[in-house]
This record gives sequence, structure tokens and C-alpha cells, in this order.
Amino acid sequence: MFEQLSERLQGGIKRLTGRGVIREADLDEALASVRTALLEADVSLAAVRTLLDSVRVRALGQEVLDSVSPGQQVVQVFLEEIRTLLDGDPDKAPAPFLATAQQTPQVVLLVGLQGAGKTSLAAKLALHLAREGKKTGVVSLDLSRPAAAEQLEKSLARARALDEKAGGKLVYLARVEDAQLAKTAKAALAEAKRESLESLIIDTAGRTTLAADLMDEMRSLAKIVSPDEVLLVADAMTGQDAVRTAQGFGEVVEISGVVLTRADADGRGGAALSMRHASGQPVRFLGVGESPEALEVFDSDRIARRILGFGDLIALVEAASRSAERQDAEKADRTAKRFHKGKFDLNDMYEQLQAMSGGGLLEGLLQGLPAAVRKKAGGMAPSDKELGHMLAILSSMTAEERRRPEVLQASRKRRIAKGSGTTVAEVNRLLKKYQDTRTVMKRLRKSGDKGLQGLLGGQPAAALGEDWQKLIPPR
Amino acid sequence: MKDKKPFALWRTALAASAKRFASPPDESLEELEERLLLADLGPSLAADLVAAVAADKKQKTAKETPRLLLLAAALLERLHPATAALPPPRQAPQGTPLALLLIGANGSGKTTTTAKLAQAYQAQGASVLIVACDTFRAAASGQLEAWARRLGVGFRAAPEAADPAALAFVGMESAVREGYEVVLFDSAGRLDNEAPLMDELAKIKRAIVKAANQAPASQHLEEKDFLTTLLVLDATLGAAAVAQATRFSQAIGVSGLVVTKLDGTALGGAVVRAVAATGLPIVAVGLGESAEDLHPFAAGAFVAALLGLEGELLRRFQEQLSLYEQA
Ligand SMILES: Nc1nc2c(ncn2[C@@H]2O[C@H](COP(=O)(O)OP(=O)(O)O)[C@@H](O)[C@H]2O)c(=O)[nH]1
Ligand SMILES: [Mg+2]
Repeated sequence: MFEQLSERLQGGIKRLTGRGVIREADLDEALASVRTALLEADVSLAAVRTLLDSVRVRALGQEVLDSVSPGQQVVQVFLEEIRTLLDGDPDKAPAPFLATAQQTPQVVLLVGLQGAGKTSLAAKLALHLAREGKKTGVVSLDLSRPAAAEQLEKSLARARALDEKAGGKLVYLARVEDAQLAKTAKAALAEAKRESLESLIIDTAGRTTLAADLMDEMRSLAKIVSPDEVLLVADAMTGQDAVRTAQGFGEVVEISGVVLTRADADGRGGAALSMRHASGQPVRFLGVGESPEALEVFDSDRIARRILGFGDLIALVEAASRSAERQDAEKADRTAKRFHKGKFDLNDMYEQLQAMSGGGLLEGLLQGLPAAVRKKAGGMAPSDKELGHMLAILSSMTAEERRRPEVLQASRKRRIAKGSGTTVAEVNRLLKKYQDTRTVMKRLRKSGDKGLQGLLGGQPAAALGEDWQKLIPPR
Repeated sequence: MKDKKPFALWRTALAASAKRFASPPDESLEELEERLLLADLGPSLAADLVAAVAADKKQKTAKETPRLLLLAAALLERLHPATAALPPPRQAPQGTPLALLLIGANGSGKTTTTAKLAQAYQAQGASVLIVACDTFRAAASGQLEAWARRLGVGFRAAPEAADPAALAFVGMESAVREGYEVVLFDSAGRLDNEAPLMDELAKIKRAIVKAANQAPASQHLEEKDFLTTLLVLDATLGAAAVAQATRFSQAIGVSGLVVTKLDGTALGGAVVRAVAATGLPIVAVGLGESAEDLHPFAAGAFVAALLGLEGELLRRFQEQLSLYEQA
């Protein structure tokens, strides 16, 4: 759901790159188009303002003035700020989901608007926790919607049928019927203890924040069950109402995380940014389909990458990073030395590809080659689109896989193709390119140190992969 | 349906009423834009509307009219043609019940709207049959059956995972045979990017039409003769409302929109975008969870809420609105 946002952002940002000095008017024009892209992607007006204000201040500040290439530095600033928006204050990084839960069973309370997808999520989350080895129960405290409990029971049965092993750890707690909510809640807690559950997920009725009686009800329910986590469940396609809803719920219960459902829609995913911004709490999970297995742990890292995109934008970031890296002679040396020794693995290729758009080493290498060899390494200089795909594929590999490409068997290739949104054929094509490049390398080395030095001379051989990692560090 | 001209008159009337109302300080175009953005009208429609207000304000007659009221008029102008009523029961040729098919994304409010429609038609004295064509979601038919029992209307369902088109066929057949005047088909929620599920809806439609044509007495009936397809849109949606309206109507054809959950904090402005993109009318709005909470779409009230009109401005707007409705 995030791809579209990425596309829209690129246009706006592109304008700024390649300019020597940033004029305020240019900057404002670029920011205006970024603003439109963000709003079209349903990012809340407040979040958009926060983002653009901080970009603007930094873009006109010393850090950008001092940089070799101010336009690209602004891009870098923008990307950092999006990341900050998505991740919150790095000093106040939240503990992992349920990590601080003290009681047994640990209690997760699901709240949200009507039709947000709480009941489906309850079953998904239960399966998720059961797969972590926890004996997990679910109970429906939705006393208002017809057949809500029946839906939960059946959804849990579907989850159980999917996974025999984890299924054994799933418990449906029938609620006492015809009782007040408070009594039903207490009975469910007692039953959870009797069943020696390790976690209990409580589904509740949907409510709008304007219904004072329902909000009161939720407040007292939270008091009774004293949850370890209160998850606000919301539709990933939510528009500007994300803010009102997050604030409305946050005023009444202590939200500890957000879940976005229907994230498998083609929407633009702005709600992730809006909800994070308005609730101050991390997005924990994404619902990505109707199966009880269709739950993803939210990985801001991956989402940021998706929002930023792997095409042009990534190249821009890397170009920006490179300008910062330019003086880093040590790294250039390191890479040069590796080449010198004829060492070249997929990690090196990753770095080189990332450097390409700015006239990187690989291009240099190619240009220095005799026509015949260049032909042999045919297609080694990829188009922008290809470059994007190659970068996506490489980034979906582990560092170890890049170091030892020979471990890439069929199943790993499938995983990489899936992770990068490409096909196994494309992964194979990339590996073929890698082999070709190695061949070229070897030939070059044979042609003597002098030639290699000549080619390397003055070229920035920045370890851009690492810089990218700094921007969006791995978990 | 009202054409553009009365709105010009309306603006003149607005100007004339200026003297009788104390107006708050006029809002800037930026403030207007903010109101629109916060209501999910999206940056491009917001820009269009603000530009329209700026142009209006230059007119001599509008000099004294607050921009916010000019904006309200501009919005109304776009929404008025998009107002339509639900079809009456038995508008169809003799012997064929009026059929309504409810479609939309998961959780948008299809099932509840089905129940609300059943209640509305029943209140008009029509006999109503509900067919629970959501055979996919866990306990979906249980939810609808509870409603049907509560309302005392006819009900047909099939076991979980049964073919919804087959059920639709049987449901339509029995509606004809048993002489129901209105038959409502609920359906499973689906996202607009799921092509196979769109095909399933098309199949359901074909099954309904086929079953209607099986009746011995009936001449050849087409979909438009008796079947109304309503897309249920959640008011909290952002840009996805446009995507849904566009894609559902392209894929299977939609007759009108129902906007649900307008009783919450969501202002539903994305629906204005959906209307602009598709030209579909809004036939009803959901304002709560009980069966009585379905209402006709009132463009004036919708606009007033969307823009947050209050105090003198709201009174002035209402006065103009009622004069306009009378005209
Ligand atoms: N507040 C409010 N809730 C609604 C409205 N329409 C439906 N709902 C609620 O939204 C939830 C999902 O509705 P449902 O009809 O099951 O959605 P479906 O999945 O599209 O069939 C239920 O809890 C309904 O009570 C409405 O107009 N206002
Ligand atoms: Mg339903």
C-alpha cells in the first residue's frame, strides 16, 4: 500500500537535486509539491506540517549550506525526517510488543471504530502469539453487534485449522451471556486464569469517539482488565479522521500501539504516518489479508524503504549520502584494496550499484574496458528501472548471502524475489550479471595494477550501503 | 435535480441577507483550504474549490458575503446533482420484486445497511426478503439472521463457503415465487484491487438477473429494470473512497452510494471526491448502528457539518437553504 506514496514523492523532490545553491523560492516550490503528494496519500495535515517545517528549517540551515551538493542534502534531510516521523523519538524507542507485560496472563485490549477489523485481528494476533509458544485465549466483549462472539469463535477455529501445532495453544473463551459488560469482563479474566493462559486477547465493540456512553464504557472496561497493551485498530485506508480517532481514543484509554488493517489494499498508507504522529505510539502490526495468517509485524524500516521507494529516490539518497562520504578516503581505499585483490562479492556489487547513478566505480570500470569485453559483460550498465530492481533484490538478501552468493538456493531465491517484489528469473539475471562482472574483474586484474589504479584514481568509492543503513538502520 | 442557475440566485440572496446577520471576521483562502483538507476533500479538489471562492468573491454581488458561505454554496452546487432517493418497491414490472445488492470493502457497513434498508422498506409496508450472500466471513450469516429475526423479515442463507452466486439465484427465485416486494442481497466485503472477487460480484449479478427471468410470466428483464447495486462507503476513508467508487463501478456497475458512519468524527469529504470522479448519486447515509439509523442524504446538512458551520453563519446558511429548497 505504500508504493503509490513513494511515486508521488519522487516528483516533488527531484526538482531540488542538481542545484548548486538552494534558493528559498525553489525550496518552497519543492516542498509544496511534496505537501500535495503527502496529502493525496492521506497523511494528516498536522503530520505533513511537522514534517515539512522541520525539513524547511534544516534545509535552510548550515548543514545544507556546508554540503557539497545542497539539493541532494535536502533530499537526505527529508528522508531522515520521514524516518523520524515513522519511528518517533529515537531516545524514547518503545519496548517490543508485550515486552514489559508483568501479569499472567498478559492482557491485550483491542479498541477502535466500528468495522475497523478488531475481530479478525483478535484471531490473527492469537495465532501470532501461539506461534511464539504462548497459550493464548480470545474473548469477545462486544455485546452489541449481532453474532460478534460467534464470528470470533469461528475465526479462531480457522486459525486453529491452519496450524496444528500452534492451534493447540489457542483457546476460545465463551463469555457468560446475558450479563453486564463489567461482570462479563471479570468472568473472562477468571476463566483465563483457570485455563492458565499466558496471554489473553480481548475484542471489544466498535465505537465512535463521539458516543460518550460508549467511551465511558471503554474506560471502565480498561480499568477492570488492566491491559498490558491497548491496541488501537484502524483501517489503513483511513483519511484525515485518523487524527480525531487517535486523539479521541487516546484521551480515554492509554493506547500503547496501533494496528492498521486492510494494508493489502492499494491505498497510499498515509494513515501509518498520521496515526503514529497523532497517537504518539508505534504501529505494531499490519493486517494484510483475510486469512488468520495475514498479519505482519510492522517494520518501520521496511515501510520507510517502501515509502521512499527503490527507484529514482533511492538513487538520489545515495547520491546525497555520497557527497557526505566523498572525503572518506579510507573507505575508498578499502574498496580499492578489495578490487586490487580481485575480491568481489555481492556486497561489493551492492555498493557499486548504489554508486552508479553518480558515475560510480562500476561505470568507470566499464568505460575503461576494451569494447570486446564490454560487449561480453553486456547489459552491465542497467537502466534506471533495472537498477531499482537490482537494488531491491540485493537489499532483500542478508549480508551473509551477499558475501557468499553460492548459498543462494531455490528457496532463498524465492524468498528474495518475494521480498523485493521481483521474480526468481530477475534474481537469476542479477546473479548472472554478478558472474559477468567477476569475469571482467579478473581480466582487469590480469591487465596489471597500473591499469586498475588508473581506473580507480579520483573516483569516490564510498561504502554507500552502510550509509543507507545509517539512514534506515536495521533492527 | 437542480441546475446551476438557482445557485447564482442563491448567491445573490446570500448577499442580500448580509445586513441582517452579524458576520464573524472573514476567513482567508488558506483557512478555507485547511477546512477542506481536514475533511478529506483532498488537495486537488480543495484547490479547485478555493479558486472558485476566490473568483466568486470578486463578483460585485458577493463582496459582502463571507468566503465560508461562498464555499458552502460551491460545495452544495457539486453535491446537489448527486442526491437521489432509494428506488420505491415494486417499481419493477409486475411480479418481479425490487432487488438491491450491497457491495463494498470489508467492515464498511454492508450488513448493517442491509438490515437498515429492510427496516426502511418494511416501514413503507413492503414485504422484504434478505439473502445473506456473504458466505465467506465467519458468522456473517449469523449476524444478518439475528437482524432478520429482530425485524421480522424473510431470510435466506447458505452454509459457510457456499457459492454466493448460487445462493443469490435461489434467493431471487424464491423472492419471485413467494411474492416478496423487495429482496436485499448482502455480500462479502472485498477490496477493490482483488480482481477475482470483482468477478464474483459480477457473477452474483448475473445470477440474480437470470433467476428473475425464470419467472414464467416475466418478459425479458434487464438488470436496470429491477436491480439496484449500492456501494457502501465508510465515511472515515481517505483517498481510497475514490479508488473504491471508481473501481467497483468500472468492474461491475454501481447505481448509487451509501455513506456509513457519518455519526462519528469522520466528515466524509472523500465521498465528494468519489462523487466527482464517478458521477454516482448518494442515496442514503448511515448515522448509527441501529436499524432506524439510515437517512436520506441531505446535501445541506452534510455541507454544514463538513465545513463546521456554526453560529450566525450556520443560521444564515440554513435560512438560504430552506428558501432554496422551497423554490
Ligand atoms: N456508528 C456507526 N456504525 C456503523 C454504521 N454502519 C455500520 N456500523 C457498524 O460497523 C461495523 C461493521 O458493520 P457491518 O455491517 O458488519 O460491515 P460489513 O462488513 O460491511 O458487513 C458494525 O459494528 C456496525 O454496527 C453507521 O452508520 N454508524
Ligand atoms: Mg457483512
